[in-house]
Amino acid sequence: MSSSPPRSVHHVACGSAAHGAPEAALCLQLHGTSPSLSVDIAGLDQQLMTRVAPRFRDLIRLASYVLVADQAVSRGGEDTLDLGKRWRRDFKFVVGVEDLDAWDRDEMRQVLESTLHTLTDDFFSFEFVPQLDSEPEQLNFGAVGDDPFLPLEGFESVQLFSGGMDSFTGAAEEILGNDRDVILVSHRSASKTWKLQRDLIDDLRQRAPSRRVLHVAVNMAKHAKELRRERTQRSRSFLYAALAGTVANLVGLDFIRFYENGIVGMNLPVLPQVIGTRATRTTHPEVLRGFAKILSLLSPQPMRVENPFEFLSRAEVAGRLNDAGAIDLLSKTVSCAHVHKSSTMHPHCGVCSQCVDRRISMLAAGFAEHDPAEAYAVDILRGQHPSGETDVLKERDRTMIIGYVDAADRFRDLASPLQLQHRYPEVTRAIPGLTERYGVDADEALRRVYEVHKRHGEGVDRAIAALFDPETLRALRRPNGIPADSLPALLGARGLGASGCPQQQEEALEIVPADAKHVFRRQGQNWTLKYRGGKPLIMNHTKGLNYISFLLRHPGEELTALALIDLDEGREIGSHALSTSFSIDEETLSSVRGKMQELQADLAQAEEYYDYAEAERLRGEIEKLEDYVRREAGLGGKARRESPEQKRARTSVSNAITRAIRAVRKEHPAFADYLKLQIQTGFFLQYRDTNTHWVL
Amino acid sequence: MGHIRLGKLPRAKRWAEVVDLLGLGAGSAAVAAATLDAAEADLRSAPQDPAVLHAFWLLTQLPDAARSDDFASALRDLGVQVEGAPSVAELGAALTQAIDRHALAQRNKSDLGEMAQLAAVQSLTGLLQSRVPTLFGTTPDDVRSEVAKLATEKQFGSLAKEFFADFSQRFLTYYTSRELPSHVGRDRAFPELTAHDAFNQALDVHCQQASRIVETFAGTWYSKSRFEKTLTPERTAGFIGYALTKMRRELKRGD
Repeated sequence: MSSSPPRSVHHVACGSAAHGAPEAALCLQLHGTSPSLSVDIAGLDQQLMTRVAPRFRDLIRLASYVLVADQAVSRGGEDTLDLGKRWRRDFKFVVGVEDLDAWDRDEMRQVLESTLHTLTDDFFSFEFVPQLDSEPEQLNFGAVGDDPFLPLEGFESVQLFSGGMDSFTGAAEEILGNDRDVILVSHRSASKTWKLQRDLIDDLRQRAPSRRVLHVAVNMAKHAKELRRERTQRSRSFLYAALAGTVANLVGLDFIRFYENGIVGMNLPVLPQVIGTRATRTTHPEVLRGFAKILSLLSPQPMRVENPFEFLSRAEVAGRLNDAGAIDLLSKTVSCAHVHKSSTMHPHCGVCSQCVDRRISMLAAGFAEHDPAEAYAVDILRGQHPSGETDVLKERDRTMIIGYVDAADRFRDLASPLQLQHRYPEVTRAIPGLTERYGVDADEALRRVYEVHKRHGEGVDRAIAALFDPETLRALRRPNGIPADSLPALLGARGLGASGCPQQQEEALEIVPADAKHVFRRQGQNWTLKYRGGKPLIMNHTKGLNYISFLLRHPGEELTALALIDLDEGREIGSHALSTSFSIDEETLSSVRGKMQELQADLAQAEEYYDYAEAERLRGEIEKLEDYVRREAGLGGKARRESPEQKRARTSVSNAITRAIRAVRKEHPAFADYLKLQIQTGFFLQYRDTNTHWVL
Repeated sequence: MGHIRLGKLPRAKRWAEVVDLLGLGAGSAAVAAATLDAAEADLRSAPQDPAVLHAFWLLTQLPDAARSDDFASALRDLGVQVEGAPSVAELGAALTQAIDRHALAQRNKSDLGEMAQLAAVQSLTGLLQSRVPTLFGTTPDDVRSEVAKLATEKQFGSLAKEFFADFSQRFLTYYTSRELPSHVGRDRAFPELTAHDAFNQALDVHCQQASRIVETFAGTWYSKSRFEKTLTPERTAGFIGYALTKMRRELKRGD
């Protein structure tokens, strides 16, 4: 069997391995006078560095190298359509490590390769060599602002903290609700995100002054432009887990926690184009299982990586925030996936999957007053910018919103856990992680995933149904109707109707069913045409309209011009369009012979794969074509010339149809475009669309 | 966290007809035909993807595993790691893992591989969920018994039909879902979300109907190959190529 060409391999040499690495390799170095990256960990005293086990220092370095390589090699851009060839990259890492024994073992390599593959869709391989550099290293611990260094004893939880709603709820629940001392581990990226995290932590400290809250944040700087080619950063949660695991090891805890609602954690595809890690698996159950295995291989005791919100929807997480007494702080959290686009005034873009979900989920949860519309640069409910501008959605935004609501509808309609597995087989990838983490069987794990998705779908449905409340619609309406980019106008079917104005009554067609979407009907000397349920057109009779009507009556069939004239003049055509065709010309003869060759090849294949019915059919087809050529072709199988009568018929019918379409264009350009695209004129005439039902 | 990457159809000439048809609100059969024309080379490459091949090849192996004395052990021999006789959920998860591991070992997978992997679990789940008794709960023995029945010519034909229908539907919507949602809304080709859903349902029905063509010969091919002990991955790759060619022609033929 032939195989597809191998994808190009990206060699990555890290630490000591960078010395003497092949020229083509990407060399990543934390050591020396000109390092390619630096890693700063704020919140931990530099003196603690010596307490961090060498294998955990290796872990932080490794996760940093992986993230930098992830960003250094492009995945090809959003619109690349190559079946994911560039999306899935192949990395071969050689990494210098301090504790070679901890890393240089098959079990470790296997779990790293499979976990990172699940996380990113990329292929990884790892070779470990001794880390020999004695030069200064850009892996630093330091203070966070004015925070004093806290002794590490007594902390009860290490959890990831982004400043988004879910991780903040997790922090609030532990600190305010459960009265625990916690370490919050963050990624320190953009300055606005950093400020947001600091403000939220200050709020929690003020509300629980007796609790100790240690904020630890990692910042990775890349010192070359070519290390910033790819923005997706699918591997980023490996660095967060590495840092959190290291901190847990320092304080003697055997678990770390991510807080992510179950819908985002699973991230089932909103649209069929979303294949593999086009939907992130940052906190996917299988990824968390892999992180736990990696940390366990490095730790003296088995490590757990938990997600306490794994079976909660975002609306339910909001309920937990309310229970923790911090719902008033919801407005200060930011869930937007497009942080780079955010501003102080509008921290949420409003149109990414996170914003859409948050906006609708807060409506579903009844906490919309804590999630003000002004925080969103685009208000999808009203279809407008805060400035009042109403043309706000780009095509990609529209795709995201439609996909989100459509997926939620599908979740709502699920009847059983197995139906979830049937419609979203992606869910099976999460089952092993869930069965292991919760000690349940696969059926129970599937049931829990099903239930959270079902509840999410029902919540979204309730929230959207409320938008169609007459009072809400009245409030949305502008002088020229409801804005086209508003959610109610986008989703019309939930009660609004295609026109966007529920009160507007369209004139009912008297001669055709009122609900007919496509009409092409003659009544006396008039034709009534209707396309896609739009306003009916009344047109005077022409032969061209009559020809079109015949073609619509025979979708997919090839008819000759003479056959159409026969029909127009009230004569019957034979059962096969070819039966009324004129003598064969050179082009047709060649085409028929080509077809016969194709059928012969098909016949050989059909016989090879035991496709008896097809083989018999093909033999029949071949015989028919042979008969046809014998009957229609001239002496010796040569083509005959088209007769003047045939040529006149072809020209006359084609011109009549062209004139009719031109007349339609004056009233309905889109309909004319459709007819032009779907009706083939020339030697054979055909209406190509076999799927549209016409009332004729 | 929770980022989703969305793409659009390229504005290249070969995709223009698909974009135009969707913009005009054309029927699903016409859109399917235009999409297959534009993505013909992609579909032809499917049998070369190791995950596509492994996904379908595993389906050909499951019935005999279920007929063996020890179903779980026979599954493990195929690389489908289960602890004991599996439930439908456990079998689906183990199948997914097996295909993932295979692709990882080959260091090669395309989006087609992922589609086939999903179609394999989807088709198997679809058949089993409709057949296993649910009134008093499903036992692993019910599952084993139903998988074993797939070894007959007729039953394997049904499984293959479902697989190729699901795979084709995923393949077509992989492209159309890059364009279709942007035509939903007032004054657009699909004025309501329900029109968008109806289009996708019609496309699904179109794929189901087209896949009957596979059902007619897949069972015979399976049965003969099983008898002759030629159900090898190589022979299976040839069969996949043939079946997809038939599907492509049938889908383009319209309904």
